[in-house]
Amino acid sequence: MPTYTKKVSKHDRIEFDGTDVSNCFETFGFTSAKGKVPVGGFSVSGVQENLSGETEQSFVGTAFYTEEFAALVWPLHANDTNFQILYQPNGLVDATAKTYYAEGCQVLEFSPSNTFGQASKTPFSAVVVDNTGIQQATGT
Amino acid sequence: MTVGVYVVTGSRRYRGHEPGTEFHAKLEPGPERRAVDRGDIRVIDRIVPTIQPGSYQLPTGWLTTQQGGQ
Repeated sequence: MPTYTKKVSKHDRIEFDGTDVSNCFETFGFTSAKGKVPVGGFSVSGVQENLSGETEQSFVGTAFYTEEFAALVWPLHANDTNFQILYQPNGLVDATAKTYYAEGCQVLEFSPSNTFGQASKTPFSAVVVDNTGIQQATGT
Repeated sequence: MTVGVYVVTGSRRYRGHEPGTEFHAKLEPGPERRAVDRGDIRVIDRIVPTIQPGSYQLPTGWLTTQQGGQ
């Protein structure tokens, strides 16, 4: 029986606006979810029919909150800047790994919050705001 | 068409280029300004890319004897 490769996530490459932020994140990923549009009509089976609707896309993660992170992300949030996010799982050690990127992203929420005695972390999310959406490319 | 010559001045990679290295790219004005403001890159020059004499080699056998090849 053929097997699939398994990997432990350790070497993901993340870029915001061209700048490498890989080491700032402990979790990172994206969602690309299509809406479900019911188009059911009367039928013998009575089963609902659906079409795929609009696509909502966003990048999410958990970052270690530092001055460096704030210096990069706060201006992008405060100025409603459209910027590029690039995400390449395993990309720090494999330049040929599949790359996901979106040219127009915005940080709509910036909500750092600390807990006494614990590492400073902040949730991160950025929505894709232009209709090009998230693209997949093969690394070089 | 002009492209920028940049050096990565920060402590982190910029678009895959290591700190301290030089690269040529055509960056949009917005991303370039933000990266410069953050201290991630510095603009060294703006150039029109050209192929310099001697910086290339034709494939073996490409030239005919009439054109000076072997």
